[in-house]
Amino acid sequence: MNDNKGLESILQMQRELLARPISTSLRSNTDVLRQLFENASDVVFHEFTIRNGPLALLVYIDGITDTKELERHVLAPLKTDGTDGELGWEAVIQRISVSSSQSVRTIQKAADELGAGNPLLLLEGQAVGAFFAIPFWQMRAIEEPQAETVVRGPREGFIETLHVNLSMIRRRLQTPAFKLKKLSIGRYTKTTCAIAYIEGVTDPNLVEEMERRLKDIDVDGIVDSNHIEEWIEDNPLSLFPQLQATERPDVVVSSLLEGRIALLVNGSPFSLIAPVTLLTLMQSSEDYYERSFVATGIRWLRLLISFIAILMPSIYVAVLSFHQEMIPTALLLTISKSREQIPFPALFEALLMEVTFEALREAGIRLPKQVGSAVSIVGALVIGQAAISAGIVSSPMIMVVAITGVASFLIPNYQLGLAIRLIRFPIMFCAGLLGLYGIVLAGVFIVVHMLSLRSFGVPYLSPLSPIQFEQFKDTLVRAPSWALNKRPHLTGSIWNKLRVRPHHSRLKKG
Amino acid sequence: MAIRKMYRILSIPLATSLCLLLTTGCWDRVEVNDLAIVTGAGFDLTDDNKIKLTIQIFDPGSSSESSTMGGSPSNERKQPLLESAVGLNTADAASKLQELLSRKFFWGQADIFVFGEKLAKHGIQDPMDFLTRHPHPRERANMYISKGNADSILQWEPHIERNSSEVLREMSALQSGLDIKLLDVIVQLGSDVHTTVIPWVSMKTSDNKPTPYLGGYASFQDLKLNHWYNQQKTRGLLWLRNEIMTATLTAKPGDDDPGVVSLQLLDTRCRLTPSIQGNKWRMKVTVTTKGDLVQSTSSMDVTKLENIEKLEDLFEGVITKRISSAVQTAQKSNTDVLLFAREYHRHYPKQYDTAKLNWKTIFPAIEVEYETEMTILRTGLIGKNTSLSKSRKEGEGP
Repeated sequence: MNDNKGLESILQMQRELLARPISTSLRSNTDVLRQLFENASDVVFHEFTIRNGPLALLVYIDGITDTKELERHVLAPLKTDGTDGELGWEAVIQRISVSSSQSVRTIQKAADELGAGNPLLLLEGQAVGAFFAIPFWQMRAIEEPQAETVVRGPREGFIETLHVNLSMIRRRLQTPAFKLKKLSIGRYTKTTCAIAYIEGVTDPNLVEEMERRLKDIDVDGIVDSNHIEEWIEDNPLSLFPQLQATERPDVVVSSLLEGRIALLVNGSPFSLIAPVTLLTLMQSSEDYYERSFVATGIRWLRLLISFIAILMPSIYVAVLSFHQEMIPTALLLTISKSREQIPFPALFEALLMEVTFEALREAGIRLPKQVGSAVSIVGALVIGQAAISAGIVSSPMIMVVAITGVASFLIPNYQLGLAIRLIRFPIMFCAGLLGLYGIVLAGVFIVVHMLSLRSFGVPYLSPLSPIQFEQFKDTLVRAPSWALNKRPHLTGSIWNKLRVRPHHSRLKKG
Repeated sequence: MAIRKMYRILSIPLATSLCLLLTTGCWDRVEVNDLAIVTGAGFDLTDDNKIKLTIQIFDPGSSSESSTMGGSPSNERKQPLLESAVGLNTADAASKLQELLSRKFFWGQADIFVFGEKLAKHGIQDPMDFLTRHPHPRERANMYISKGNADSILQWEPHIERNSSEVLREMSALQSGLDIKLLDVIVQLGSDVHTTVIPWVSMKTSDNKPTPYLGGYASFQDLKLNHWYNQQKTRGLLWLRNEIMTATLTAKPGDDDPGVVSLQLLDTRCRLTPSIQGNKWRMKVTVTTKGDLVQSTSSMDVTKLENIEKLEDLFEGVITKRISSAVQTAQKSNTDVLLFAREYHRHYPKQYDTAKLNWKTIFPAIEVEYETEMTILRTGLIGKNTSLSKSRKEGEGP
């Protein structure tokens, strides 16, 4: 009870301090700020007298403010030149050669700007302060995205710093129609997010809806874009990702050009694209960088393989324990030969191997690189030869697990791949319980679920259902870019339809 | 709110799995390890008129594979595993057979069904009823009549295929006309005339080793074996039934010619044209066929048109003879395996309707006319046989 009271009084004091306006007395302002930033050793308070001018206080946070700029353009002019004996606010500000400065009148705003790395200048006798936008961001270099590599295509990926990410998009989209709406989320982290869209291409309702959902987020902190994803996706209990997370600026730009919107989050190299459909998640950016026939072939391969990734172990289990008459005779005889000494039923065998495989894969991701090779050696031995020679699993099962494993790597979107990896297991149980009938039941369940899913109002299975033939050009096949002359129709009545002016299509010229 | 929804969603699989606990007895999962995979089955009649069922089971073998690390399945040939039991009918025999086995026996992969000669003469109704009624046996399994006992065929150990069932199945697949499946038999027996043909198989000794071979058709009337057709007559029958794909015909072109000519038929069509004139039932058999010359050791110059025409006439005669001998045999044994009844049914439905009850008296009396039309398309890569024949006189050829 006492602790609670103590907590309550701490929070009360924080609120009270933040709610104050900036007063004319520099002393009281200093006291308030010092109290607010008590025990924050990285906050620097620098009190000085402006030459021929009033007493001043400069507050900034060491490490996130560009101190060199601060000294050269703020401190130096004020200390050496000073004002011409005038005490007014305007006279002081005019001496400072920083392009971006704004005034603040509340402690709350002042504290926010300090946190963002902007130094704050307060003057004696003025109930207003100024901050200068000279933050200093320690950031890593722009690298090739790790999770979405391409052979042909741009090799830069987003980093953790928002304004660098935005600059990467801006460099590709030089139109003034490219808009960014900034807002900060999280009571403590105050994470800056930016909604990116192209005005005139995107349905404004979509932007509005995104803003509304973002404003509904009430949380102490956002550490990664996934936190936001979980708050804003349409069906929070679904297994399937309803937003596309990507660390590639080129993917974001091409999505924006299709009329989608992107959400970039400070501190996360993954931006979110909405709305998405299942088939857009099955596409890789490289599809657009290779020749269209090749890309179409790869898309079909990917679709086929994803069915294998979902169903192959289940079909093996179902056929082997319920429908032996379905297997070609020669194959059944071979399987029965290799299964002769196996002590476990097919379902258990499949689960054993799939779980082992998933465990090995997870271990491979988490382990430090130096130990990683040990895992792969052990994995290859466990999964490969030892399990067979020990008579625990049969060799056809190893084949099935291996093919399924390879197949699951073909899904370009990592989140979707995870969903498919997970969904395999319930289907496997259904197959072990009811055979092919169980697989069909599970399939119907999954399809019905996906049919009911929406991503920002767009049906998850579109353009397959509801059917939109026009969009097949960029889903089931990848038509050449001159043939992709229309943007997909996502939501709402605003639809900027044409990407290619009708007479410019090479289709017409033959 | 969300938690309550989550509970509701989770409760569905929970309730389902609780219900499933009560139905474990219904679970019909069978592991492959618990199956005795039947690859072929034979049906015989014992002396006291009981059914003897013989099954050929696939032996998955010992641990030969699992002991060698990652080794391929061994190719050792083993004696086929045969089990047999005698029962009042096939189902009874099958249940007695099950008592002898540690594994549940599984009809789903049975490739062939063989009926013994004795059973075939007595009537195959009993096993046919079992095979068609039971859900497991494949309707695409091949059917055979064995000269002698059925188990002797199953027992035979082949050198080139996995087991004798596989050998017979592959042999049938090569000769499409003799590829008679259980379904074909059912369909044919379902017709008005109740006849069917099933290929017969017998063991032939070649090179001091017994080998099964497909001899031809055995015709059935009312589920009873009625006549064995030999190879030649079977060919005639296949022509009539339009089931022949390719065949090689060999004939001597003339009495004074020492050589022999062989022809490969490429495309053969047979048309049956029935007619009824008063009381006379007539059938016109029109065969049109095309073929290539594949061998000719005769002195005949096949580059000359008149010689080609001569050869065509010759082979037309051969084909007519073969077909007519098949027709005569069928009429003599009074079994309408020629599908004449079907043709009359199509062309003269009214007359056939009244006649079908005494088809047995009409069928042997049908007058059959033959018209054969043969075209030789190619004479091969060499025209005249000059280099290979020594006996030819100098200066005869250009």
